[in-house]
Amino acid sequence: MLRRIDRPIRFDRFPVTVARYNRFLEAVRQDGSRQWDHPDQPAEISHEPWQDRLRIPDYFTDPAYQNYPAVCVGYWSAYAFARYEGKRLPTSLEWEAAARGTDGRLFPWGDDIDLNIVSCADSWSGRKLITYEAWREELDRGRLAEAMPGPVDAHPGNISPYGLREMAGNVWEITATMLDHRDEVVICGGSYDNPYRAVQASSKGLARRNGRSNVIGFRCVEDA
Amino acid sequence: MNGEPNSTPGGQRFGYIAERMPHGSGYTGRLSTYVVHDAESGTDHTFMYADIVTEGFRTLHVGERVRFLVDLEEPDRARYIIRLDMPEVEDYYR
Repeated sequence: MLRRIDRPIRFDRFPVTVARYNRFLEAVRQDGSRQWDHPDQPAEISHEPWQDRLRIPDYFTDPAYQNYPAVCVGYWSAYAFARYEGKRLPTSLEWEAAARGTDGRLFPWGDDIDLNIVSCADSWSGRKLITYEAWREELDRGRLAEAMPGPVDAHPGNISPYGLREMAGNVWEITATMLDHRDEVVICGGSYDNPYRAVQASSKGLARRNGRSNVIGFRCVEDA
Repeated sequence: MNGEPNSTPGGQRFGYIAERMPHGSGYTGRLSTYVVHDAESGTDHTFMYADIVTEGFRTLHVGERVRFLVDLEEPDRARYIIRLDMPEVEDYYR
């Protein structure tokens, strides 16, 4: 399955950080978000992070996390944020093309496994978790209890052929791609609690548009 | 599950997600827990997000079809939850 990106686009080099998202929240708290909201956004949606789900309760207020990816914000908020910055969310095709380049590599940096340049369950565990059973055993024994999002610039080697950072692991990234008849969007790249094989440049998942998670963030693009 | 394999004790079962609660599992109790309804026996079983077998993002919808296992020693719980209604690969590229 070969696909072509016909229009030039400019990606954010890093996932959207807490600091960037907090600036958006300040603007929303002052003037509302109607001018940026998706036309289909349900009335009850708030762009505030889902505080009850946040693994670190002061994630958005403690300055220590300003350079961490914005998480526990869902599709509607990612959409509005992108418009606030004059951008948009990438499609899943654009996202994968930006991560893989044109040579079909497994990871943004190439084909080699390197636990030192990606935040995933294997790197938090310190050993390769080849099977679901191995991952589950690690989880049940509490060895992944410390796993959490990390700074967006923590791994200089986690870089795509186009210079985009931290596309594999750390947090899944929301895209604009929706599936027919399912209120879900495609998310890409895997996260800190997934095994290595799930943090490939082609890794994809599905997230509810109303859902929010500690393992999901996003980045934006603009048409060049 | 019309026409699907039966739900033998300790064997593979088929059913659908009856309830999803936003909290109750994970290290901090802030991750989702679920109830799966066995379509043949009519019994309900609970499970946590980590019981969903996937390499990637773990989530399920109420009403979604799954297959799963139940241990005889722990009949209230389900494990090895596998989603049955996944999209085609091409659907992910739009």
